[in-house]
Amino acid sequence: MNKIIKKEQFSEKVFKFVVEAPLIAKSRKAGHFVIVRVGDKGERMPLTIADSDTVNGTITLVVQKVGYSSTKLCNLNEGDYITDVVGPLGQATHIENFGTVVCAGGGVGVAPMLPIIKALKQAGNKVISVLAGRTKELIILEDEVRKHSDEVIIMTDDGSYGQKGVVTVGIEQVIQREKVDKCFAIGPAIMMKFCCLLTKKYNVSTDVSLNTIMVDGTGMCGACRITVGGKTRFVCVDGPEFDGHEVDFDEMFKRMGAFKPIEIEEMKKLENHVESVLVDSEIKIDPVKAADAEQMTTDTPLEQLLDRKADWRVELQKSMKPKERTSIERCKMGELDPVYRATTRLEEVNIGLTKEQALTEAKLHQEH
Amino acid sequence: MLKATSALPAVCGRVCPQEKQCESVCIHVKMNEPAVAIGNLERFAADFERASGKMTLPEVAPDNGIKVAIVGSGPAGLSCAGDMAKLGYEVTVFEALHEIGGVLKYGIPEFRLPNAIVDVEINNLRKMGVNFIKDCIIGKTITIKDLEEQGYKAIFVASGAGLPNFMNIPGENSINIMSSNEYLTRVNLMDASNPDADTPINFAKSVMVVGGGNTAMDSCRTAKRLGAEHVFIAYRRSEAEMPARLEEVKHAKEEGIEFLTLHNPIEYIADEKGAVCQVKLQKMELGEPDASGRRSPVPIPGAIETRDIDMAIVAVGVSPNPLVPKSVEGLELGRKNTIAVNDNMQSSIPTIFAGGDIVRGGATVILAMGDGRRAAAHMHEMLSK
Repeated sequence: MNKIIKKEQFSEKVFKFVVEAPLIAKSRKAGHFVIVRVGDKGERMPLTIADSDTVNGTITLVVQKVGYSSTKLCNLNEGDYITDVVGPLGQATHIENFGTVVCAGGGVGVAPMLPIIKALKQAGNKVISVLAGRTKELIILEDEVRKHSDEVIIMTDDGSYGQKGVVTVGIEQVIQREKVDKCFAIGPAIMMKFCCLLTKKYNVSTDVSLNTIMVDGTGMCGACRITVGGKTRFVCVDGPEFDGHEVDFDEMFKRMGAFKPIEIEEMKKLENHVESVLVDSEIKIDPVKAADAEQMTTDTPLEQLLDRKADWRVELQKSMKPKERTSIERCKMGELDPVYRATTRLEEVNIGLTKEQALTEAKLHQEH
Repeated sequence: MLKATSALPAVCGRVCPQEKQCESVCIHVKMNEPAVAIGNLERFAADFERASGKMTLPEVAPDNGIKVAIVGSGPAGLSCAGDMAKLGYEVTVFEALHEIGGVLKYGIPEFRLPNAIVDVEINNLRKMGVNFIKDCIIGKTITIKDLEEQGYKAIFVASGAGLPNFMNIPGENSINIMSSNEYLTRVNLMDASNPDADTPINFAKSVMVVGGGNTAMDSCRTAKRLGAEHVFIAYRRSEAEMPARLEEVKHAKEEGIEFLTLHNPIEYIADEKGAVCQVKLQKMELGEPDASGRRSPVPIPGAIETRDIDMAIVAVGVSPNPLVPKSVEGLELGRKNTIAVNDNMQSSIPTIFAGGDIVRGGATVILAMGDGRRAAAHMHEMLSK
């Protein structure tokens, strides 16, 4: 359980959360992400860490309402708790002094870009940031980006702020104007694809940060797999950042749409959603077995019970002839009917031995 | 008696391949008779105790004030935690996921091992003083070095084989082709087939499961329960070579799963949306025995069959999760990023022990539990010096 310390609304669908997570705040680096889960039936959702405060032990997440789970998170308020926050995950961004670097952030992608901008600046790079969005109100974190960039170019689709045009126009201006040694692009998948197509033409190496579907986020499931340079890679452990010129974006688009029709349905249920309370599974006590157990208690010390030559054992062995014993047929445990059981996922197929079966089978066991 | 010598009898009695373990050395087998149903009896005894309300906790030695850390809450971690707690250590188990139990929760379906059974065992460990911390990834959230600085004197790494193998064949990244880990995690851990849960899962009509192990059996039987009309296993060897427990194969067949043995997928075909719609299967025949002693499958030239499917689940084994091993400097690694250990389950760094699938690759619950117990014994030996 991680407490939300601060919530701020950036635009209609974009929110900033400052969340208590002291251990993650301490160990995270630029490029890392966390997995969050809201509610006991919540989905595990990856979110890149936008910032952290080691003094107050908090991390900053910027979330856009896109599907059911992100909306559920955005509906939480200051003082509420996020059920699970785990991380930091993934590989940290490779930072070095490249020279001149263009950092292109599209929409909510500016949030994960911010720590990279900071780290690049700190490493001595000349950082030129290009922030892009459909309209003025979708340009986020401008002041923070300005603080750590040598120059900021703003692009909006409708021209309501900065220059009118798409993100690649801004990047191209810089490349045509001066020598660019490296480019970073983070934003919607389609935006990253086109940034890479552009920088490939100009032969400027470009890293992208991918936000694919994930479940565990630790390399366990492979839901996030993509093709990079003809090889299958896992975004969660091999990434999330990759050489954008090698990423098979078209395959990734398809894979990211894998659960779309279902997501839309999930969205519908949001309004009526009530968090169900999870009750701990209780042990049911069987009175017959309880009575049996009452009679079976023994004070005999364990060493004596485990002793293969103990009197009680020898006596038990003598109580039946070996031949009689071996003539006992191996018991067959009861199981649910195949037709019925194939319809129920939670009912155990094997129903266990009865007391009589167990006692008979145990006789077979006593000779050795 | 059972509890003195076995860590989790209710679990072992359900999921161990007894026919290959205890029951295989039963004297009755030598007499050409069926073995004593040791597994069934084990399960009976554990279930009887639980239902009788007379659960006893093993004796716990007085607190010796020595802190030990266990990384991972699967079978190896839990058995090691139990033994160390019995010896009086202050045990903390760190789990990366949001649930305690590891593969017992995310991997093995409830129709084989109900979660309630696992929870009872975990609660018993809690009562014995074991502390569980979830959502904490050792090597990421905190490092092994941090643990040492916090006063942990020894660490047992049992982080499992959480890296699924794929076959690297054309079309394998199409939509609705997933690892058994993903499929089972979605269904078991995330409860995705329940309409109230947020995690999605696509429901399929015709499902192929690749592989012949227990995980393949769990996957195909789960797919059937999720409403698939036709589910088949594609396995490249013959049924005799299948590593799955005999009982799982029997149950799967009874439930209507088709077994397509001596068939190996070589390519997937996707529709215009990128979702799998067909698979090409290469027919095989058995050749000479390979390194594993099993007769190796050899492709029959030109014998290729195409089948319509709308989901494929790849259950061809797992590799150790590199997350922990790679985060520790100076830790000696074995094949495929396993942690190399000596007979005492001790790694190249004396205070770090390891066991279960992180050492073995993909193995069984019982071997993992055995490792946990052996590590505990030798960890105790080291800390007592």
